[in-house]
Amino acid sequence: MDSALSVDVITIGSAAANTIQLLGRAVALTHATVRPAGGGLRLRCTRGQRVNVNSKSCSAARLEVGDEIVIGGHRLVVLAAPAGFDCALQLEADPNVDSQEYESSFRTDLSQTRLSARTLSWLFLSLALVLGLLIPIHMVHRHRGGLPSARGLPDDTLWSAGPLSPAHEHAAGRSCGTCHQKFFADVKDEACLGCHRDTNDHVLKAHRDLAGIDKPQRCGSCHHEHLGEQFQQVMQDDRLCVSCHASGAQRFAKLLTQNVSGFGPGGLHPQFNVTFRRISPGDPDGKPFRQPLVTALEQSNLKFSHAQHLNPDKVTSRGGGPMSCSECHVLDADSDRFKPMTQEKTCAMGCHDLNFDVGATDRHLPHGNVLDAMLVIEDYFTRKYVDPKPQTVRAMTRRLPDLDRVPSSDEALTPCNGPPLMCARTRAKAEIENQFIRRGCVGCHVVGDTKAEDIHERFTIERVRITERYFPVAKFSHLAHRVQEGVTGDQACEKCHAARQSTRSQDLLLPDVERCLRCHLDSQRAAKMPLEVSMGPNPLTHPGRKIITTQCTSCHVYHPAGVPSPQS
Amino acid sequence: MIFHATLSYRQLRYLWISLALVACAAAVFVTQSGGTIARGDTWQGYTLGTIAALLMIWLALLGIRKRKYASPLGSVQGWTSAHIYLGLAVVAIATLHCAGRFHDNIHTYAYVLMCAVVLTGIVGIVCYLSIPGLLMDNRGTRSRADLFAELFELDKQARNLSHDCDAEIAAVVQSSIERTVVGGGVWAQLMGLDRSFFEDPDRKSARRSTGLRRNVNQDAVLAYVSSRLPGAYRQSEAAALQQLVVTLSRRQSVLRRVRRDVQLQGWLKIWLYAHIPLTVAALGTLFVHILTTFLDG
Repeated sequence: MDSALSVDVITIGSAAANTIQLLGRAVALTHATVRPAGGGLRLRCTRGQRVNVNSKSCSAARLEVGDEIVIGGHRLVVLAAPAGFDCALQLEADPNVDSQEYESSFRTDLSQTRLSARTLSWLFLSLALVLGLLIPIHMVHRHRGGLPSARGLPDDTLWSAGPLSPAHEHAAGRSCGTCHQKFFADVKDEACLGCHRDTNDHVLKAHRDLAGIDKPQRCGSCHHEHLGEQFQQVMQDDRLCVSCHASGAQRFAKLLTQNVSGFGPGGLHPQFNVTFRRISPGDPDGKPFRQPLVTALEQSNLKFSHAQHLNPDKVTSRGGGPMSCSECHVLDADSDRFKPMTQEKTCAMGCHDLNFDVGATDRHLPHGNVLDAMLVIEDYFTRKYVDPKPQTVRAMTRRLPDLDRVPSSDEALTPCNGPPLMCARTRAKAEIENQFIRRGCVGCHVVGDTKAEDIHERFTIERVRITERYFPVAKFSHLAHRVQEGVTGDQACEKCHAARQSTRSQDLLLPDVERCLRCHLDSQRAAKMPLEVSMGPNPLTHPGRKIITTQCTSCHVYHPAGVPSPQS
Repeated sequence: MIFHATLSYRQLRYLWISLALVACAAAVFVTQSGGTIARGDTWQGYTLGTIAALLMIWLALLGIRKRKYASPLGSVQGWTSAHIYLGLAVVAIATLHCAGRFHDNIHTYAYVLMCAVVLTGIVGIVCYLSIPGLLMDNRGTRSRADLFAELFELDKQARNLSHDCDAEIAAVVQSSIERTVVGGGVWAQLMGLDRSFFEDPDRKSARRSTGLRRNVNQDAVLAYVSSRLPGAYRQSEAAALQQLVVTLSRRQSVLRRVRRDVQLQGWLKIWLYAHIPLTVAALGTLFVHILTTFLDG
């Protein structure tokens, strides 16, 4: 059967789309092409395929009339082209081709298509390595050379483990090299201290040598970045502290540290020590020294009874009724400490006005300077006796601390008949002695009597030293404790400070560690407690009360403030 | 079904192993409570990350194991069952490893790629559960080779029968057989497209025409041959045409089954063309993820 074709190229293969379809396993989907070339024909096999031309295997051949081509058992013979045709081929199909080979003439499996899992795999792998690793490494080298990242290409921010904390984001932004200065190395402390120059290390350099500690902890061992806002939560695992401080007394004996193995009953945490200052003549600010809380006594050089002030039968507040703690103790803005108390702002205020003469209740002694106070008394009596205008007598408004009701100087002394100036001097001296020996200044202060002839040099007042912070390195929020155990106000204060029982100013009124343990435990011990703790008479537990977990860092700071940084 | 046996291999042995593994991972994860912020670079994070990475590499090894049928390391069915359940478990373990912290970085890309691999794997499971039934519905117990053998015979018959008809019919039938296409490219295989043609002598006479006519589902050639039936004036020719129509109809039916078989087999395998390259991409990104974690200290 003859078929006439009008095509530019004859394709030979097993696929149906070929000009000549030859079936068989030895025939590729597109096996060869035949094109007219220079008056004759040229046969060319597709890549990897071969044919037999005149019993010779080849991949390309020039065809002449009479040539015999064998492809997979099929015979093609080049005939002389009839008139009007470029070429003629005679096909003798291999009769032995069976149905088994029929399928191979079609692409019936995905593996025969252009889709290749292998090619795609290589492509994806290359993309991952180039975009994820090589280009960012190149960018790091650019950055180190002072060049910016190339636009549109990934840089090392691709490796960032998460968003920076807002402050670091602001300071370093996308420059990873600010902190990550070398490959395969932790962020060095120097990178941190480049900005945080005045942050003190936990152990001072001098103390490190004393305690035999080689090198400081890495900043990064506690401060974890790339956690976004959570960066503020410095690693607060008690085990970090306890791992050193559980045997602190032995390991850092020269630093006089005590062993701490947690916060719970059974002496895990040592008793509190209070810090006082040892004042010496050459050192008015004093050197700090620590004393166990249980034996410590305040040495403020003031006389004061909390019990008396809180007894409404003896003292009432300005508005009437019993006094409240907050009338004298006002929380500072940091809600941690209290505002310093002064005579003018705390004691005076309508209670302890420093007037000294029943005849002139509007005249007050200046506070804070002994000689000034004496001169004001002298000045007052000089004017009183020399000035012919009589003074109007006002009602006495002065209140305690007149420990004994001492008669006023006017009442005690017989009227003076001498010269007015002499009378004034006598009266002034008597009043000064009154103030420093019987009532007035001596009511609150410790007064020194030198017995000097000159009245101006006879009395001294011991310097008042109210300790502002008994625990200078500990954190404590009075605000957070203002409401506790179901009470607030003075009752909440008295949960920890036994002010009603204190009659002396030497009493510290500070709660001990057992008092804290009534409500707080460390997380390790709290986890072992039933939710509703009831352990009977143990002072740290109260039936039906929940435990509030606390961590070392709840009360203690790691970086001490106010000491020079290790760099300086 | 064979695949159901793979899923429930040895009383769901690998499902229980995977659940136990996830439970252990969760137990490790929760020890990050208290003062530690859960994240990838705590000891718990590193532990979980190492387990997830080793699992990913092991899961990828299935591709190599499948090609070594003589391996002494357990049956392919056992490996596949383990591959499925541990592959699902690795998502849970990797999520615990990163503590759910996802950002625009290489680490999250590695996670996303891993999830994409697992997702394509789930598509594969669905395919393996649903398609074999459809394959059986289509060709019964016969193999595809049987279908092609039948097609080959029908082709032969049709050719022989066409020689008993006039030359035009013979050319039409011959061309319809030669220009029958099964399968083809990816799209043609998956959609079951039919790009068959036949040479229509009516068109061939028209100028500038190749004479080819679309022959989707062999409908056009059947219609052409059938249209000749009323015009046959010799009884022998009419009988031959009749026989030809019957043969071509049978051929049409077999071709339909072959095409459906190619299509279903395509869908049974196409997910692998995403699963394997994504696996390689995920392993590449995993390598970058691990390297850069230590690169930046």
